[in-house]
Amino acid sequence: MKNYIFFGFFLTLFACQFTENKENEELAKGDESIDTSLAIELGEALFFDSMLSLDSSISCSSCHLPEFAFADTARVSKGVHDQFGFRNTPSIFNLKGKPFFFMEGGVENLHRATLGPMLTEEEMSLQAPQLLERIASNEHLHQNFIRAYGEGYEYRDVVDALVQYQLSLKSLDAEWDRYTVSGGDGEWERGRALFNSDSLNCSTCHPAPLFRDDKFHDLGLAHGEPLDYGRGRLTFDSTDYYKFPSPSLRNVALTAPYMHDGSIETLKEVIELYQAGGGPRKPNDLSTTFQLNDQDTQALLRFLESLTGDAAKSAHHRAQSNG
Amino acid sequence: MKLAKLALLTLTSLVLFIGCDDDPGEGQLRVNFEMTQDGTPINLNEDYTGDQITAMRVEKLKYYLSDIKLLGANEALKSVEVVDFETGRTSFTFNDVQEGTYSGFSYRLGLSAEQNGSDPLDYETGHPLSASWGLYWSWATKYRFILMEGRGAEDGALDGQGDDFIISMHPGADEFGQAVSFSRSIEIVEGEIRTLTIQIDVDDMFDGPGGLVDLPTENQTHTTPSDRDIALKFIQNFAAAMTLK
Repeated sequence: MKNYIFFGFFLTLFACQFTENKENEELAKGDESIDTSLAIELGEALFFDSMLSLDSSISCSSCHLPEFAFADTARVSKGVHDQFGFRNTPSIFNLKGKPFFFMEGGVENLHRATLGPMLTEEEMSLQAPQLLERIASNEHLHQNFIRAYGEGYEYRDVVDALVQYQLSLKSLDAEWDRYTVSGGDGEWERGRALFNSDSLNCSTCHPAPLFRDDKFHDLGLAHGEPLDYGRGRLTFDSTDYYKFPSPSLRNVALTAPYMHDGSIETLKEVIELYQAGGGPRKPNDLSTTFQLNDQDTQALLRFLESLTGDAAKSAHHRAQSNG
Repeated sequence: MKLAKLALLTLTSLVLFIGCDDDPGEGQLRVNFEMTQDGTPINLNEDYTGDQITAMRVEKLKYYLSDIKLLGANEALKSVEVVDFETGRTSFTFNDVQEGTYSGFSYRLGLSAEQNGSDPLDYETGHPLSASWGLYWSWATKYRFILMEGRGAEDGALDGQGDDFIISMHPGADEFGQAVSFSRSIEIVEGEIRTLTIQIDVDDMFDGPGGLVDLPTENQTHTTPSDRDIALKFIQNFAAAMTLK
């Protein structure tokens, strides 16, 4: 009798296990069956839709302007209820493979990073239930989400659509890319040589091909108000205070103003900052100063302009000509 | 035929298992949270005279509880819960509580390190750890343990003039969780609801074992290097400001 009881028990367990495995398979199948192009299309629609913000006043594209390489022209961006952030909005090109996000460097994947502006009170400030309600009440969007993610789509799928769109934003079609692929003499060759030279040493923190090193540096910039500890804000380690990651220089000619706080208006002024060995706070991670004459400065600027992608440049010119 | 026998055996074994069940009865435990001043309820957005500041108002109050349990029970009632005064999520009923007499009630104010490292996208909308409560700090990949926001005015009038100040207390860090425990004989009776009310004193949350939070000068903390000490003081005081009635 005892044996039969155990047999029955194991049979029940087996049945449960079988059901669980089947569910896992279905989940996996569901993930594979997501139509990436549809997800990108959905993500793009959301990116430009102000329904993502609490008071429907801003969309992602309000701060990540396509005509400025998806960066902002304001020193710091404005969120809902006219609140201002405290850092300059970065470009979101070429995010695939980026090891961390935000200037503290604590967020290791783009899904979590995308939550940042969506949830932060000073930015879009809309929590998950409210956004899902808004999507459900938009029949077209709702149906597209069902097509892409299934009937039971969740908040994570909304975030995923935005992630898929961001990952589709690549900018690897600059003069520099063509030069690298085909060879030849770029008219900015003098600037490239300066950029890579030991005396300027730009390429150490901005190495090709993405021209960022994904490391943190203190450039000695003046403390902002409120005090911004950079990476130290996350680690509480005083050796990390005021260190910020090197941004990519791809499309840098379109992404003014510069630095983490948007405090520098032009690329020429940024070069002057480096010439002076960084900002007023010493010591910092820029140990040396250098001198450039006007010709060298122009050559360096010309090289930096060669990093502007064709598509980004076209979007910029289109927007300019449309006023 | 074989299949029928098998089904019969499975059914029999289930009946035997169920027949052996000698679980004790179960009751319910309801836990209510309320803001009070010396025992008198205070509502959100209600002006009151504080011990420290003559005109005060709490406009938002949310916080996490974790490892919620009856002292003497084998298992926690719930691993995590979020209290949100703004949406009226201040009363929680725990069903299927084993009958018996327990020696108290306890929880952690805040989250465990593991919970604090969660990805809100792993949770369904509405779950305490999901991105539904305005408590997730995405830049730091952690949660605010308490979100308390309000206003104060030293001149006694909250009138939107220059001497009003904004209060924004957002403590949250792995090591900030506070153990809260109430020793009290709590009897759970089968089929009945036992209700506990926990009061949070609006003055004590700024002045307690953590030290005085000097509101005119220490009214903002986001647990950054420059205001971490205020965050810690506040969460320690907040835990001590909770009393079981």
